[in-house]
Amino acid sequence: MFLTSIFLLVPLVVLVVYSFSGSRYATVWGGFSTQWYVRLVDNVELREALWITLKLGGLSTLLATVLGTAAALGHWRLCGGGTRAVPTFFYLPVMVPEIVLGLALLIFFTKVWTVERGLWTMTAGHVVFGVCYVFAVVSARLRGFDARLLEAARDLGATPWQAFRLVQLPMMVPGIVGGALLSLALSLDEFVISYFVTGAGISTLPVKIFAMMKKGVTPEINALATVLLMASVLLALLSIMVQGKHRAD
Amino acid sequence: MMGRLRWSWFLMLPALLWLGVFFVVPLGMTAVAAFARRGEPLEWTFSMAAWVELGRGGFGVVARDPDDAAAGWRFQNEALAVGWRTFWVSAATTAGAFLIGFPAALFMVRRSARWRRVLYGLIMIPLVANSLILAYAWVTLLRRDGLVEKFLRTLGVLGEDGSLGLIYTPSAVVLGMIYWYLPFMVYPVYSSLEKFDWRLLEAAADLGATAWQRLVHVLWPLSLPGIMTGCLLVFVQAAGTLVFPELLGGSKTRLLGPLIHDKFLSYPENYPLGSALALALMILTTFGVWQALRVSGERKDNSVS
Repeated sequence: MFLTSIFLLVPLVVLVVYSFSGSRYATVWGGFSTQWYVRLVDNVELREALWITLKLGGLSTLLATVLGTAAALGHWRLCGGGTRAVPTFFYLPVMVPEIVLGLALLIFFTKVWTVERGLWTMTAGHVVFGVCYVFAVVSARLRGFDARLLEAARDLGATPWQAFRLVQLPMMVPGIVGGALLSLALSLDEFVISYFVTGAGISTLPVKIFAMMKKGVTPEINALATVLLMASVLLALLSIMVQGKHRAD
Repeated sequence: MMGRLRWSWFLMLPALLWLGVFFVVPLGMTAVAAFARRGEPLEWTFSMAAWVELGRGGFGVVARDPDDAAAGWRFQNEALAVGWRTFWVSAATTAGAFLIGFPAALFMVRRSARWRRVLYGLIMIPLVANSLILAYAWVTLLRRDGLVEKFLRTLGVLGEDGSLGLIYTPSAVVLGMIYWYLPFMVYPVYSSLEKFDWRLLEAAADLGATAWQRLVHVLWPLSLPGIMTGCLLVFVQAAGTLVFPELLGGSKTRLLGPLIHDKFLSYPENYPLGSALALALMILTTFGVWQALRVSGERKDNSVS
């Protein structure tokens, strides 16, 4: 286990340490420096890619959360807390290799529904897997919900809408937030689908990073990777905190 | 009651429509495209050209070097050669992830709750990071004049100009993928070990079983469903990966993922051939997922009885 920990940590530690190197080469230590972070902030192309990544993440998360939550609610109303009839359909997109989903969407957007590829085509792809994760998380949350609470609310004079808004919705919120965060994290990190369905001149951050990596190894990529690593860890911790806090209730 | 049902379907409709349009239809078209004619880049005319091209060279094997039997053999057919390489790179990744993941899960499950959380977080690191970043971290370590070679030179193990030629080999791809897919192995194995009744081992010891016998006859069979699930998860995902072979494998280690990628995104494109390869990959992975679900389903039935 000690060796396993080293195996897990060494690549990341090396990555972070060398992002502070003053040298031009990613594997030569040239004294402590933050110049690569400064270069990063000044890089216009990267800023543009970051902006596209954030737009894509926001758009696809919003759509996936609304569609996924509605579907989970609909499914719960159809078969209650039953775990048996979980529609496998909603889990299929997650089981298909990403590359297949990517090329299928490429064929679709070039030969079936011909549109200019870019932000919207990438959004279409990201919502496909986002919806599945939101559905799974919200469904799991609803499984523990007692439908008699709604009846009780109705008996006390609430309209169906009031019963839903004041009783069921608050209980669903942690699931919705957790699913949305998961969907956002996956969208920000997603590479293969974006790579396949993006248009000319439009890159998300992962697509841009991949192009940079293919060109060569520079500490600037280390710095960028470090920033993204921190962002992913923060997002993951946030998601765990949101879910953990409500599990305690 | 009818109204209630209608409402429920109405709620599910947008999501189902979205998945129908952007998932089912594209996948269906991919299956059709495998039987279409190659054009600019695709024509909807029936053609078996992609499959003919896939089968070119036949399915036999030839010696790598006619004069040297020790050089081994290779498939004459390109797709089959790439498929075979993909298979054993995925299999090696699965085996490696198991050899690291099983002891790790075993170690974790026997610790206190606090320790467990720390170790669990550690194992899950690759999951929250981006696969590109992790592959890149391995590139900086393994590449020529990279940190591993520098370290060995400092120790004096490796000569000043010596190189191990670590990167751009199948081994580099396997190493990177073991790192990335380890969580998918540890998680199911850990969950099955968590339910394991450790008193069974004590009982076996009381009845005179040696440590080895306890491992092979008690612990192993009872944790097998979790192990199977983990292995299939890793295998299925490794088979379709693109990032690791592209960054760590170089041009000599062609795997199915990069090959499919080239048929769509590199000149000259060949959509029908790419679709046919994608179908082959889908069949392989669907079979794997189905097996994984079946095995984990059996485990549930066992725990009930």
